[in-house]
Amino acid sequence: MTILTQKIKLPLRVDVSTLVPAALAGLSVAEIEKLPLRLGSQPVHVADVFSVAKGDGERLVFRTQDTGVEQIGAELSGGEIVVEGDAGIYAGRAMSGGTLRVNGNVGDFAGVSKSGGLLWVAGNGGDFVGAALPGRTSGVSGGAIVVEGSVGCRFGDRIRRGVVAALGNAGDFCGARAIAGTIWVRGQVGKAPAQGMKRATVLLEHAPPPLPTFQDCGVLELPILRLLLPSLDKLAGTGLTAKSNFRAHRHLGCIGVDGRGEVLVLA
Amino acid sequence: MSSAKILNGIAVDETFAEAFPMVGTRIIVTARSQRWAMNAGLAFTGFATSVIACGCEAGIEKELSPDQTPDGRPGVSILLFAMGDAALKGQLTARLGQTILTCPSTACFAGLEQGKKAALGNMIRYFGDGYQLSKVIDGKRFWRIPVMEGEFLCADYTYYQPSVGGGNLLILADDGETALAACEKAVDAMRKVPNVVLPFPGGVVRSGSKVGSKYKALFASSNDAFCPTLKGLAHSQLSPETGSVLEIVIDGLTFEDVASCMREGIRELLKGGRASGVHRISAGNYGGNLGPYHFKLHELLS
Repeated sequence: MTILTQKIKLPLRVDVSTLVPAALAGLSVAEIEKLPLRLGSQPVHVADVFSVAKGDGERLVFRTQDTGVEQIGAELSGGEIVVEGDAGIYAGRAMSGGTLRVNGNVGDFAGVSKSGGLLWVAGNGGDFVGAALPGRTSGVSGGAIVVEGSVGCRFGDRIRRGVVAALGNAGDFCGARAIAGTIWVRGQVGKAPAQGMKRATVLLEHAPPPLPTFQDCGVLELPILRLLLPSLDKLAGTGLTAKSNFRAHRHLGCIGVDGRGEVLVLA
Repeated sequence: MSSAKILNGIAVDETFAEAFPMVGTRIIVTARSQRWAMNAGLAFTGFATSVIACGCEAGIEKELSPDQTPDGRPGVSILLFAMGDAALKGQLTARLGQTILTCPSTACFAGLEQGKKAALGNMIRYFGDGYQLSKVIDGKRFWRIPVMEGEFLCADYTYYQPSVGGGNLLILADDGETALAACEKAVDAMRKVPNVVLPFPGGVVRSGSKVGSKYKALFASSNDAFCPTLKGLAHSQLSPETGSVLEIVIDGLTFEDVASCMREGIRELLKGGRASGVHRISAGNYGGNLGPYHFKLHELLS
């Protein structure tokens, strides 16, 4: 285990995308301290920002004081990172495997364009969580994101495969432009969920605001829920399956893009 | 027969069943009730007794309770065997499309998780005419095909593996009535063995065949050496006491599966003893030159 404890209040953001378990394996404390980082545009060393300690196991722990530590677990492909505190923007960007657990909140763009692994956030998330990297035409393509709290707007924007889940509320345009995959929100959603969606599932437990670009198919028994709900329960430790009758109110769309996706509201 | 073993008054021939390499797959079909899972299973495995004319051999392996199926509903597991990859894939999708897709409330899942891929939903999805949706759940892809009843849920692929077809037992009895009664008991015991099916009606064949025919168009014909109405012929294999012969054919995923199924069958037949009307147990082979799998009856009992 490597523990990186933030020791200064950051005047600018520091990019820690190079600090992943695979890169630090086998390095001594002194070697880690000398690794280069960027604080704003300025080159610094790990020791300028963090105090470094070693313990048993492979896990990498960040102890943060503020949201200036950005890109934690970016492009992570294996192993486990735990953030004790908040993570800045781009946490878990383009990760393809492994686990990133944030005990606090994450900033904007957390988990964008990830293709695998698990991003778990105990607090809240900013905007564009589980969305696409700016400029990319498709977003999350695998793995799972679970935010125990609430998220901002454009949650799961352009998702293509995998699951993004907010156990609290989600802001406007949740699941917008989704290509496929599953966006699950337990609380309320803001304006225009799933707008421009092609084939994805936005799974809700509360009625959404009016969906003018979706066609109402009524409440139906859906066999897929017998697989999907147990899978979500396994992921997030919820009890959806036990109380479900495997029926949902299905809204088909988005007709603005000739979409075949759905907004499902569990019955 | 050189040296038959007499057990419980029944002669077990010193011979072997000769079996052939096939490819086999398993699917799981679930439905709203066991009744409808069984309806789908019976239709899927209908007219699948012998590759001679059916294209495949298939049967219901067992009934599944809700806690044994992927979607928590009652179901059946089905095994299907064919002589080659193309035949297996063709039979699987043709039968899926006509008997499971069509059957109310069913869903279809893979029953093997490794080996070579054979399309299920990946083929039948086109029935959805563009309205089909796929969903990847825990790494497995499923297809949701809109149908008049609601939605047909079907796994993308199942898998298939090298298998063994044509394990068999010949039951020689005093008459047709006792032969059939003994076979019923044997079939009940043999169907408890996993990874095998007995593809013939009720698990039993009354018209075992030999290879070839005097008629050029036919490549199989009646096994005259075991026909009781011909037992006066010089090449008959039957003794005067034999009034009827029935056969049980076994297809299984592995050699061991077929062997243990045959063993269960022989034990059940021996349990009935000579009093059951059975006086001899034998097996069908072609001299050992055609099929690579030999199930020697005496070895099965040792």
